[in-house]
Amino acid sequence: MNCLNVDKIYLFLENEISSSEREKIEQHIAVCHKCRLAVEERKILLQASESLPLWEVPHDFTQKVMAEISLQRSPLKSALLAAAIIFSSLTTLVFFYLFMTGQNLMSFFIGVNGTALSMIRNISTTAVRIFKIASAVVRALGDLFSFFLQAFLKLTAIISPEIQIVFIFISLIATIALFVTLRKKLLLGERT
Amino acid sequence: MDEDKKLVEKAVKGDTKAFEMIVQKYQGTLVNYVGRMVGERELALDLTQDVFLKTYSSLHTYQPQYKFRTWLFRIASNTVIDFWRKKKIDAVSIDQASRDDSVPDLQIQDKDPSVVSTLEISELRKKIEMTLQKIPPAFRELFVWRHINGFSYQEMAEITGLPLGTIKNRVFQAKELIREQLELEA
Repeated sequence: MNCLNVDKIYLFLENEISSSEREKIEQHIAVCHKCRLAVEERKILLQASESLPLWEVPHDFTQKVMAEISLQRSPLKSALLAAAIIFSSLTTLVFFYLFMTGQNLMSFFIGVNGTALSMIRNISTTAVRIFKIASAVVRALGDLFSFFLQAFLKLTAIISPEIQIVFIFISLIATIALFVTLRKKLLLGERT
Repeated sequence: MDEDKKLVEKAVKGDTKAFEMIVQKYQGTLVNYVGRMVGERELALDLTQDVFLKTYSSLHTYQPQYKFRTWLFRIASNTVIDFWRKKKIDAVSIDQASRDDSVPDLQIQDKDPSVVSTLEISELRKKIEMTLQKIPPAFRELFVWRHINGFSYQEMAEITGLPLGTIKNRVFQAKELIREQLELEA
């Protein structure tokens, strides 16, 4: 038998080989000093590796994990809890405000109601103004477009079809040239 | 049906006690695996907690034809990789090692050094523990699974999806890397 390679040694040490092969290896290491040393050394390495000290887990680790899980399990419960906290905080703030200003609850609500109504009124007025400006802009754009359309129709009536074709051809070439130039510039920009 | 599968079935139906039993059963093994992978105790505990949270939220996707332990450790392995990617620590080395077969020579040298045999076993354990942090994560992971967590080669092949022969070979390489490192430091 030839000298052992490392994987054969580990297979031998971990009992991952057939009994006949095991026997052959045992016979070989009985006469081969180099292989015997190699096997002995790896046997010690294996023994030490398999008895490395284990890391302790804190006694409350399971409880911590389960507490996290119970939060994860009930998002609805967490949301309700958050809502209840917000509600109670707001209520406390309102009563504190009433206490400090000497108002009663009814006058407070009338005040809040009045503020809310005036806010809604202001928002509605602003929205109407914005709408009016937007519709004026759209109307102006429509007028501009119809002016250009009329001008274009008049121009096509004056110029002969042959010249029109030449114009179309030239503008097509110019568009392609512009596109190619821009593309080159953009690509150069990317490379840098 | 084995015990783990029964516990999973109960946990899926909302029995938190069943999941608590799973946590108790695997917390030690997982902390030892994650701890050896990241090298820090507190971090290992946080990541192990993440593993259990991920496991709980995906329990319904567990397929009983697979061993629960291998499924759990696949989640753990992915959690460790995700952590490295986020921290940008050695982020690619696990993937790289799974493709890269640049390995230590598995032939016995003529003058085989024997520093391992000269050390006391407790000293050797300490040195192995330190050396473990210096070998590539992909090899370290397999070494930990095999020798600290006590996985069979078959289980490791199931976790990683790699062929059995490749797994065995890599575990041997991991041990040789450790041995070579011990020699270098001697």
